[in-house]
Amino acid sequence: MTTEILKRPAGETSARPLLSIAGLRVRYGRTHAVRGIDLDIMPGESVAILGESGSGKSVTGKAVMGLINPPGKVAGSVEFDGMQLVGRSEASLRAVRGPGIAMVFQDSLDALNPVFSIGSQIIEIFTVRLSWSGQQAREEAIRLMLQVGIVNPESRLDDYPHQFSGGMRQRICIAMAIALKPRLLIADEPTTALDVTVQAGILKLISQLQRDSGMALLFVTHDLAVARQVARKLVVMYAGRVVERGPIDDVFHRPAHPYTRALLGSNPGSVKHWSELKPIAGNPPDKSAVFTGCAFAPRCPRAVRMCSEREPDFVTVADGRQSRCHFAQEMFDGR
Amino acid sequence: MAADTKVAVTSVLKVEKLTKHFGQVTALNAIDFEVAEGEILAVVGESGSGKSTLARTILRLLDASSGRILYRGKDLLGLTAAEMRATRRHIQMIFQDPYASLHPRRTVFELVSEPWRVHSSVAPRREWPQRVAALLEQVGLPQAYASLYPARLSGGERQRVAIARALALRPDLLILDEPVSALDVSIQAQVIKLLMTLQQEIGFTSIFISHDLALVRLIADKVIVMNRGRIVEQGPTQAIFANPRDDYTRLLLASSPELVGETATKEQEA
Repeated sequence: MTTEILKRPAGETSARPLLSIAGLRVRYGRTHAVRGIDLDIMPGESVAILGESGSGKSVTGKAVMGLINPPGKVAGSVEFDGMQLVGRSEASLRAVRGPGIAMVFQDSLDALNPVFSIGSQIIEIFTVRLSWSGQQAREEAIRLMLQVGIVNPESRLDDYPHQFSGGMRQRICIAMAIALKPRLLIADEPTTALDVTVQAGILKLISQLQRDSGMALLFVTHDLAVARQVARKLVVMYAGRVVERGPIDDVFHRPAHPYTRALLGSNPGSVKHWSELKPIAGNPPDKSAVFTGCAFAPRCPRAVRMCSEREPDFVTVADGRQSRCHFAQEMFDGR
Repeated sequence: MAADTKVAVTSVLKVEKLTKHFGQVTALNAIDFEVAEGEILAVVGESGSGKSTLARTILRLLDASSGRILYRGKDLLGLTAAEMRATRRHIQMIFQDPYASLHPRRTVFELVSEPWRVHSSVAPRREWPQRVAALLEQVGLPQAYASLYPARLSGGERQRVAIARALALRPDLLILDEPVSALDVSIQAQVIKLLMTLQQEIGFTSIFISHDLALVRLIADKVIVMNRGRIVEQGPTQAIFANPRDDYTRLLLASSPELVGETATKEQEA
């Protein structure tokens, strides 16, 4: 019965992207959160957006979901399965959310309603969205809870969010997100608030669900090590721009942008002793700043005059590898 | 000051059978450990393990239920409130959240000099400007920041102010409770390098509370692993990471993504 929820169009494996972002800009007054990014996600593909706070990574995820509220302004194009989402009405976006795109957030306690039982919140998805009977919805809710690793789901349906641990709550949020079998799951730092042992389980679950269901995944994180656990493709953001993209392990082993290289150098997992840490000098730029050149130039060890005068275009350094740096090829070649 | 006690006390802090109950819950269960002069001891564990309770109990911000906390041979639990206040000069703490730990209506100058208001014997008022300037320089902040309010500073800069304030009393023992976990990775590395450089220059002893094993591995001499209020394992950092004996330690190490070689891609292709 669940296969009736959303029939995938035949031939979805074709070369057309499931999600296509072009020239996306998001600003709040004079604050520029996203300054023009392009990003394609193919059906079934797993992509991680990596960035520090203020890089625009979370805002990008929210913009795709149509969750930027006034005074925020969205410009550019977000096409999902050929449908333009920017400027679409809230009612029409609601139809896309769930079976089209679903989202899991960092804070699972905020995402669940504290005064309703977990069961009623999951069941409601099916009774409201699919007009299922209560019995049918209940059975599906139990199956979903089992699928995300909740032990004895029947006995936990009537429990309230506060009766679950943080990890279990996040599993329930994931269950609700995948309830309508979305074709794209956006996960925004879903494990940042969790302990490492719990995080490991959630990452495994997301990976497994993504592989088994064939949905695409957009995973937003500040942690490269975490990104490597769930995604095959990496998009690195800095100051509202994409600065590098490519297959995740390739970027990890051979970064082609000074910022990516610097991020790796400041990661404690990459060195043996603290003295080998190579922090990035200075602070990320102010979001109201206007750049003529590369936004990373003031902190970049490689920067020359040209860098602050002219913003570099994407340079293709290898198959599927792009970097927005005047020295992209040199970086990639290890020079 | 503590350094005057030149007797053969090797441990700066010795905690014996320290226990703390919150009602029915045992937050700390017979904790035993020692920190030697100049050593960096890491306390690792997940939320609810008791690691932050341990820090707060040592500083007597929380009352211990039983046990002893010997700071340079003197039991802190036996001190009067006034004696404890005097002793706190030597034991300083840096907290996780630099947004919450700095008073928003005080300038950086006021924040850094505040400890001298409490411990007035440390620095006479006429020396304050000069001392604040020296501290700002030590933590790598521009002199002009003295007149700024915390709202103008980034997270990393705020944590530098918190470090300057903690160092203002030239502490003997510094307790750091997740000092960089609220910061971005690139800023974390800056602050860690600063802390470690200062530690080498000044030589304070420290207790570094963290959930980040990759970071602990880089800086600590010794590690204590806590789980549900108990120490499940302790020893030299090298030994704990190379040869963990306890199941929980093994689980922690295996879960830490930095230390896992396997990636999604490799797993998928296998």
